[in-house]
Amino acid sequence: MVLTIDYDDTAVTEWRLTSDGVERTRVDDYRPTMYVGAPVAELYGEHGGPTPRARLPKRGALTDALADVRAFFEGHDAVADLSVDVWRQTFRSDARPVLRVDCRRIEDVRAVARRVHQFGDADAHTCYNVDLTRQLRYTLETGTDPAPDTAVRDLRTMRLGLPAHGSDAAALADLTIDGEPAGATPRAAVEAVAERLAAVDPDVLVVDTARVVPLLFEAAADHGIESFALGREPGYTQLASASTYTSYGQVGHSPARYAVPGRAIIDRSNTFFYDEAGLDGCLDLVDRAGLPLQELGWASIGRVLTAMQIREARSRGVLVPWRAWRPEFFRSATTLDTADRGGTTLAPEVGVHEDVHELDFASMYPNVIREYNVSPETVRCGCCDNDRVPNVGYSICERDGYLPDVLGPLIDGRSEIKRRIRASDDPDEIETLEARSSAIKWILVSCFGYQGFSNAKFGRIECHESINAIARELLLDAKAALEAGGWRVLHGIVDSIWVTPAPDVADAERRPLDAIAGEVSASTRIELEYEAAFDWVAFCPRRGGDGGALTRYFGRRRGEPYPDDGLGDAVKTRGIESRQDDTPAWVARLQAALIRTLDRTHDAEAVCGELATWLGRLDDGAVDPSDLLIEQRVSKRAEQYRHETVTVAALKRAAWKDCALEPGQRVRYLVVDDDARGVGRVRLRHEPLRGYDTAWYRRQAIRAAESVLSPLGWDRERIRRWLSGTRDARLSTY
Amino acid sequence: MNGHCGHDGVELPTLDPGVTLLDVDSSLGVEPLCAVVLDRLLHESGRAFWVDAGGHVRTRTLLQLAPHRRYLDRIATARGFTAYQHASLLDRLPRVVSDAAVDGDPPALVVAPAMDRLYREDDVPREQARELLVGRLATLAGVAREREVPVVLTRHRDDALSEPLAAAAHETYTCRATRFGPRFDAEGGDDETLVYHTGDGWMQTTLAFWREILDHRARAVDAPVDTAGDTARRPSTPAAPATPEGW
Repeated sequence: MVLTIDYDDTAVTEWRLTSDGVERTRVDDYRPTMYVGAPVAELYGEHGGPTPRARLPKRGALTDALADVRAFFEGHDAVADLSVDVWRQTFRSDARPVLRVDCRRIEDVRAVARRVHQFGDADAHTCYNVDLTRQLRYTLETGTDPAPDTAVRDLRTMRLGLPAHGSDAAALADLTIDGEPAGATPRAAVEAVAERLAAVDPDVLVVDTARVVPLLFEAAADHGIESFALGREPGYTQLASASTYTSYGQVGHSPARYAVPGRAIIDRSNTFFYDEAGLDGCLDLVDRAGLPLQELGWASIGRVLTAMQIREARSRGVLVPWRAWRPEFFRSATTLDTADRGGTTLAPEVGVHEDVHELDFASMYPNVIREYNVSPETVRCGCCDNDRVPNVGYSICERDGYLPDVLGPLIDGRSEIKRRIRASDDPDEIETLEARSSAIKWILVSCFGYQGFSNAKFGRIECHESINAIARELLLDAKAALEAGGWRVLHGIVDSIWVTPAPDVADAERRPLDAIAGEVSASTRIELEYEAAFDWVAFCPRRGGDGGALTRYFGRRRGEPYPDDGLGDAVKTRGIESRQDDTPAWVARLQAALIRTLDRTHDAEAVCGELATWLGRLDDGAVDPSDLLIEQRVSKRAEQYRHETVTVAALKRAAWKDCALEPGQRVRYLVVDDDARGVGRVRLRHEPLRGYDTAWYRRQAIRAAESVLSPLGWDRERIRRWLSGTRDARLSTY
Repeated sequence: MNGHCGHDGVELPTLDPGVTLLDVDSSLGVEPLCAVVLDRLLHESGRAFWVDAGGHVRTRTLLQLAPHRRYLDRIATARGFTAYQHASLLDRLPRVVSDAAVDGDPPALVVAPAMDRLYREDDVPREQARELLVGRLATLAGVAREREVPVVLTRHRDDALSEPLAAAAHETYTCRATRFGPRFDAEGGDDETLVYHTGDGWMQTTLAFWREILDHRARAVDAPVDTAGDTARRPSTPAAPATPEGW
């Protein structure tokens, strides 16, 4: 059980928790391993297909082509040892001899893989286990448990805060340690950090931005503090530079990553799971996913899922492919059209509906994977002749797939956590368990989409299509059962279904929902759970179009009290402004107030009256500008945007203010004058915020009001007319 | 050819066995390529093999253009989402075509739109991109030769990487947006100029335009046309909100 693992040239250091500190073990003979295997065409190409039959030379021997590669690398600097191992190169092929290359240093792995491709044609060989992250690799190859042993003691953490816009040594004057200012000058800050490190001896450094690592070391050097170390030994390693990348149309930004000896770093500007689940949730996930803490800190959901798949693959004797060579199979355009439809939705009936009940299939996609044995190597397996996937007719293998084995423990683990939450009355414990549950939930909800992601190590689009096709059938089965039981289906989307008593069925004829749900659960093998009762639910129409929006609604949960402010759990909302990340806080609060008014009065004009009050405060300049800030994720560079939106203005202003933002990062700004040109339209969050553009925010407010009133047939024009009517009326009373 | 309904005798490019490069104005979208593929299926028996790059194939567009949805049963498609997958698909193609031919479904056409597109992504080292692409171009040329079948390519960008595509093509057609409507030209010959006079506002959408032409051509050769299909494409009428009394 390790806290963290450092690489240092040809040696590795393991750090383990002890009751009073850490134990350090230096390992000199660890050599990272990659593999070279069969040509692409043999695995996936002409001889590929459902069950590739790689040609076998005599038992235990390499093919001539691989023997040539072996001869080429003999005596190569980067290579410590060459040997023959037996592995499966895909989930669909049998084990066979591959060339095993033990590299001298971690950096050599990629270099060797690149040389393999230069040595032969780009597709003459396939490489495996090339791009594993270094700590995960070590734990896999040495069989080391990747989780720190918290039974020995709890982890000690230290937080280092740095303002987002500070990028040079001077910013260290604003550094905080566990929330307290560190020192008035960079020198004082460095000294304070050193002092606290000595006192606390933390295991985990939680930093606002990893840039603080080089900044502290540079400032220490500038001020002659030679002994300064952020880790448990001198120095630091830059693992990756900051980069902006495009991956198949998506732009992302990844901040630079650093490591210090003996401590795990969690970068708040580059973490999903720490934000979502806290340190405890992260540790829980380290255990389940087998990804060491520091790597879990910066991992995306996909990376965690991949780590789990890699472990499962390894346990089944399968290597991790470097390049995504495996294509989908040919099928008719008709089948593709059916398969490519996406999640099922039953168009909602626009308007307000009273006495509504929601039922959900529990963890539908993961359960479909598990119960129906959907896995990249089981779908269209080529060995079984069945058409288990409805509508598209794909076969699913009789043999157990690996994906159900990966997800099964997560599904059960989450159920167990939820059971403990129900059983507990300790708020702290509940909070901890909720965080754990949420971290797992993210992996479960993403595993489906990830199957369709082209660069996923073990993804497969036909798998994605099969899950969809099965899920669609389940939803339709549920709909039919509910209708037969005397209920009218108002809306259905992916795994949720909303019903109200069918008006033409007498109450005595109507069957109770739990009875129907129980039957559906039994026949589909996935629990259809009764989610909630609503006094009313409002389904919004599609903006500027016909019919209902699939995912925009809000509904009043029966018996759920309102909090003092906002909606809390009393109203469930989806897709409307207050749910969106980039909606200013003031607009979100306004929308909540309008929904409460609607709930109280059932009257559109009363809602307009409430809106008018809020707009009055806006017009008077009485709204705090910081409540009007907009936060958006930057998707491309300012010059790449086609329209001069306020976001573009904000990006240009950031560049002008010397804190240019990269795609993938977030920008926060206030609209001060939409009619101005260029950088004058907005102010950034860290600038002095005084006035705001009343007319612009008024439009946002009316838009938010339109969402609330649209189920009642009101559009923004009618709201505007009402507002100007009352204003005129008010003026005329003076 | 003139005026409002003047597409009597309109010809789409006649494809010969061998590699044809089709350069389509980006403003014209994927419709001209879809039209060429469907037109081939109207006139020839057998199957079209569509090797797609990153979601170029839009079954919705094909459905809207096809005189009958049955034509989609005759288009076998697989999509590469990485250059590596695309390359594997083309490795697999000769066997897939051969298997279909054995089953009595000879190839009518092979199409590889935006053939160069995925080889431009960051995950392919520059020096490998060209090698992978040229190797698969040779595979396609081999299929064209051995099966005596037309292979239609389009390119994502005209530059050094896609230059081998033009070099491998025995014929290059362009499809340009003109003020008279889309127009096919054979490069290096003026006898193949095909202009569709669409006149003054006849054409509401290019979809409707191509659909009309394909229906017409289907009728001319007695190929199936779905006469009931149009009603299904009509959008539903908006319903008034179902909000109860008292709201």
